[in-house]
Amino acid sequence: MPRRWPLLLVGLMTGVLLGLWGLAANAVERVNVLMPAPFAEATADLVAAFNRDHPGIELSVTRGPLETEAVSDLAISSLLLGSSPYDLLLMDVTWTPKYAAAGWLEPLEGWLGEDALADLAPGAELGNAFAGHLWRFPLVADMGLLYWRTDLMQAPPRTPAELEAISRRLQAAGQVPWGYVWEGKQYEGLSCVYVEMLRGFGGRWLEQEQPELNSAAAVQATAWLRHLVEAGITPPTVANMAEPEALQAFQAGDAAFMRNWPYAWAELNKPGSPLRGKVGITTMVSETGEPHAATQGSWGLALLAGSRHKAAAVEALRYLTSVEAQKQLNLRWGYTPTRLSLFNDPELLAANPVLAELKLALSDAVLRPLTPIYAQLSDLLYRELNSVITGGIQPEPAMEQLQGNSERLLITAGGQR
Amino acid sequence: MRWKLWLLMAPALLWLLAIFAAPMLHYAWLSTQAETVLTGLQPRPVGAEQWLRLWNDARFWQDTWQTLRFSAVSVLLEMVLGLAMALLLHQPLRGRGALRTISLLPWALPTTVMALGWRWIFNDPYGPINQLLQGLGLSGVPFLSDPAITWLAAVWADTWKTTPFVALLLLAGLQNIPADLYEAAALEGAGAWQSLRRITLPLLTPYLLIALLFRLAQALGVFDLIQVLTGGGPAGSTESLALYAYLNAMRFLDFGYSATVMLGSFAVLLVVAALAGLAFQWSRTTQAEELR
Amino acid sequence: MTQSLNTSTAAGLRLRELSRRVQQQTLLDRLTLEVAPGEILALLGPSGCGKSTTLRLIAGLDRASSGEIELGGAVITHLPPAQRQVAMVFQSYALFPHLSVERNLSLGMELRGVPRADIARDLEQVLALLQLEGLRQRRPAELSGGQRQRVALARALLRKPALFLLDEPMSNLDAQLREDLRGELRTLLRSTGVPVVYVTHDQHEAMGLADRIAVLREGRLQQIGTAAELYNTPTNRFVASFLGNPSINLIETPERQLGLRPERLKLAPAGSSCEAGWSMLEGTISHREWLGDRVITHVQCPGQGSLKVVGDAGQAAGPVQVRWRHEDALSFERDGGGRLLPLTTRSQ
Repeated sequence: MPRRWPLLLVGLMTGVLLGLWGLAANAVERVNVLMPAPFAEATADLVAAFNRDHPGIELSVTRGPLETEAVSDLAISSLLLGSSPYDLLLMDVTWTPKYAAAGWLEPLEGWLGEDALADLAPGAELGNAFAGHLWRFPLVADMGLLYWRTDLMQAPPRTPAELEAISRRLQAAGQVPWGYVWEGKQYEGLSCVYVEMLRGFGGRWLEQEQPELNSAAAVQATAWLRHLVEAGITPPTVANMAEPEALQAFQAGDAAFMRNWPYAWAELNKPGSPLRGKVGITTMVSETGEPHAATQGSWGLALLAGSRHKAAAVEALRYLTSVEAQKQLNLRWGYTPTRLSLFNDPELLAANPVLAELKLALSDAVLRPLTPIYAQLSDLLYRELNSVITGGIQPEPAMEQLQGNSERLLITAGGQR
Repeated sequence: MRWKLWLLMAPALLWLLAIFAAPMLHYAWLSTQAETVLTGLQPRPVGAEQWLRLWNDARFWQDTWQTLRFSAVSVLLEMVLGLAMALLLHQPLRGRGALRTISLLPWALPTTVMALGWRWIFNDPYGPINQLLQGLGLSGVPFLSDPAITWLAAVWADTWKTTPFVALLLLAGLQNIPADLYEAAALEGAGAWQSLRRITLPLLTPYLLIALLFRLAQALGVFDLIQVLTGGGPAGSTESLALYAYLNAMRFLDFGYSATVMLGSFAVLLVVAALAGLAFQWSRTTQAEELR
Repeated sequence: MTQSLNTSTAAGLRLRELSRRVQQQTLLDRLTLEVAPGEILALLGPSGCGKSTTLRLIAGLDRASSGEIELGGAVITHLPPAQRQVAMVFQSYALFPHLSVERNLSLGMELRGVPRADIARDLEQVLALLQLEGLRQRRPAELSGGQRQRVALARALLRKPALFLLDEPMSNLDAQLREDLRGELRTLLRSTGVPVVYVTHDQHEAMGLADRIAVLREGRLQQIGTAAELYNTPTNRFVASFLGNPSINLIETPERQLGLRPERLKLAPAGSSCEAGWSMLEGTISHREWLGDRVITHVQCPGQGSLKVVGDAGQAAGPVQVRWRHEDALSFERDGGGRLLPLTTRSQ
């Protein structure tokens, strides 16, 4: 009998130690956010402040890749493995339905209240809810803009024809080698460009869950993009242009117009930029009577269903998306806020004179289709459009083919036959 | 006696089974299921439908053709240039050690890094090549925005990176050929070209074959280079089978079809390997006959 | 010697002041020699003596630093190997491992553009000559050492060379085979009627095969001559030591070193008196090697070390006297090792 005493003692001690360790581990709740690299940098101060104010929570940021889709790949890889190390994810607007349908997200309305979006600027509330639930809260608003050279023209074009005419005039005068640069590479950015033109010509991508990509407006929009290249207004290398390449060409003074996101504004106006103070922004051109559309590309925080620190994570989400945080992000990094009140904030308006234009553009925001299979739909679209831009296929047969492929995809995906 | 043999091989066989056969079997099963974001990522049996879909998928066949084209041209280039490079590095030159190290650098570079590098070099019009061409008054080359050209840019980047690997393998082979064979041949009246054809190439054959198989297998599975350099564009002209399978799994969350694409690519690989083997046999016999 | 009378040396091999230096090292130092057509010259010496260097210079595989090589009356010093019309048998035989015996033999002729009919004819001839007919389809890996040597010889013969070079062709064969082949090889080489240079480190091979032997040491020619000349009248201690088995005994005298061939020494009872014209040393037999045809007796002589004596079986142990005729002793300078003329040895 006495021989068992030491064993018991060891068992007891182990138990106590494990208990203490558990207590210690529970004392601080760790919350991890995955963000694309630039956001991780921009939010560093906010994260530090949050940790100062919340001793019970340790918020840390995982610096994801630079490219949007690469961040998604990283997140999905970890989610597929079952135990993701992340509690919060900074998501692009197009991912929401996919992630929600996959069951990876936690509905937020229960945490934030049904009226959580009430304070948002018009346009910023789009793309956060899907299938009756709120899945993410927008941190930064993003929308497609038309950049124009204030030193070369009085006012920006409002219709495709005007854009063409101004371009031709400036090119003929030798003031710019090219008229208009945009994102024509085979990737998501091309879909964003197209959504704006499609709306500008009066078309829709999906109507009642059915594609309308062979409509007259859709063909017109496609034909116009191809026409820009054929007419020499847009360089053929647009077929390989993403945002950085378009910005590079525009900033070098090689084009009169550029389609890009708000981040380019700060880049073009920073000290030493050749175009500092010579750039204006507006919404995309459209046919008379059609809206000047801006593709909505906001970034928002979502709570992962697998998180074990949901309350703490929501606390962090609230903090990072608060009016104060967004104000700081705008002042320091030029990020467009999503809270309506900030667009009227005198301090911000003084620091950021284009805020009014941005608010306007945001109100014209157009969403890309909210469907879990958006990635496939968009992949079909930008692949086909890129073929048209490189002259591999004529706009009309291309859009017929795209319509067929999109219809087939909607039928076959998920085995819903 | 025989069962003992099997017993001894059992650990190795089990290991092979675990790392090779098991995933294959899993994919085979997955290819009979629909498992997408619309099924809540739960498998649902669909019989042969994924295979039917593959058979009718023009994109799969286009990617097959593009993958084969990429592999054939880049591997051929790598073999020729790798042999030339190995021969050069085998010469008793001053500073040969340094030369060998330097020439291996491209291979040591991570693929993504070198792909980014080439993306910059190939940039139109701001990349160095096009800047140079424009400086010379020539028109730029749309390296990455013309479907007829971009696949060659990818081939070139791949060749640049993996030629040193081939050269390294062949250099090992060259070092295994006794110098006196060349001396004997020289005394028999052989020139440099004849020595290469009659001695070097035949004795290098096993190494050439290994390099060929290695490179072919790698090239047929090309992914990261394409992903970074072109993203499969323009107009899908550089998309490889591996990239397509990846898109289906990671972007589209269509795992049933991704497994089908992967198995389809594997079948393509097997066919190519078989054809390469046959071609090699054939070239050996005809060569032997020609020399008789 | 009759050959030199019909002035055919003009068609032979002539080396003049041939040197090779690599960086600071002199591998071969001003070698001058001649080989007549039909003559077999052995280059003999320890490893590193320059004999292989000489061969490679003649073949054109290495570049001469200075000097001249003349073959058949033409200077070939700077010709590439392919144009020298020289055949070489390598120590390793250097057979092409991927080719059959037949193809190993025909490759050179193909390279030189010999017509097919001639190739076939010559091939059959040489296969028959060297008894290789049964092996024609084999790869080198499937041949024995002796067979490989025959293939290498056959390949050299088919070259129809103006000069034959052989680099230790026997070193990969076992001892028995070496001795058996020596005669055959000699006959074969002689039949070609061209000069032959044969490199070896084996004195028996050199003496058994060659008409003349050139002994090299550290890149310098020590002596050239017939085996008997080298054996009986070596120019220095090195040549004397290098030739002969068992090797020459060296003993010290106050003025010089004496070289005593083991077979010229006689054993006599210890303490017996010495006749005129003879010298002697007293010693003790340490052991004997019985070799069947002869016996080597090792005698420990105080102050001189061990002396080898070749002769009949005599006493097996105990004190003994070693004696020799004055004229049988070779005398050398103690420092330089050069041989002193017999005239001066008379005073001994």
